[in-house]
Amino acid sequence: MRKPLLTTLAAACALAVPALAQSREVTLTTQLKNYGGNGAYLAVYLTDAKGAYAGTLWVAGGKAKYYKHLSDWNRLSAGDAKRLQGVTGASVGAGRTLKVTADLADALIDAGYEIHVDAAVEDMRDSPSEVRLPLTAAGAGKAQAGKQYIQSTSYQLK
Amino acid sequence: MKTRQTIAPALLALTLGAATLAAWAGDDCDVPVRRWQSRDAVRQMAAQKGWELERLKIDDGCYEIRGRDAEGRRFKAKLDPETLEPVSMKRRERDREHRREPAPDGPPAAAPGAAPASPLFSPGSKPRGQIE
Repeated sequence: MRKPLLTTLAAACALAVPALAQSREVTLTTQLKNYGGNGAYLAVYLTDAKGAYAGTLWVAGGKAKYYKHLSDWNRLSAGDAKRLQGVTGASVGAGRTLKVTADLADALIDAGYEIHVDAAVEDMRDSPSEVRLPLTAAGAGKAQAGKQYIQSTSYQLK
Repeated sequence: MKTRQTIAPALLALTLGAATLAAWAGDDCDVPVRRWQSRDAVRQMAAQKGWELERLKIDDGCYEIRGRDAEGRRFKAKLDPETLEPVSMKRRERDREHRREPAPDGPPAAAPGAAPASPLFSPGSKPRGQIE
């Protein structure tokens, strides 16, 4: 009598633990146009269902003095002192592609979250929230075109 | 009167253009003090890269460091105080030979500091950025 009970408990735990800690690998691909300028600064971040800042996935471009040109991200993330921790890299040249891969909590998908990409280029117009993509299972693989510097942005879920 | 009407928008456009240029030019840093990483963070980042620091000071709003890199070459670098990414770097190949490296653009740069603090990511995981 005791053994089946223990087996059931063990099985339940084995099933429950991965469910609690479940995450999805998201790969976001942003291809830039040949806009004929210097490397672009890009900020990739999430907003929640209410439009509030939820976190930064990646910032391309190493000089913080230019972050004010990524104006939506800079304004929304101003209260997050650790917004850059572990998520910065080089700026992205014209015509090149930035791929960002992150393990995101499963609960973020189909929960009203949106991926934003802000873009800015030296001596050219700033382009806040150039791309906005709802983070949904159905939206995976669907490319969205940008207005100014971004040819297209899409994401894949694993 | 007509001339004045034509000149005024042209002057405004020139001024705005100059302001944009000024905002992007130069190797100085402009980061509010509350966003600065500590001197210890600079030393920690240098140690991670195998750099041996001989001097650490603040210049033009950036951290400026001098020392030897992992290959034993002398160098001088300016670091962005918020990201700790090099804004400029000079290496001494031999006695009087200098080489200036441009600011990073293209190949992915290593992200300084520890794992990301954002609650979006699974604990222990780190986002990867790659430029193709």
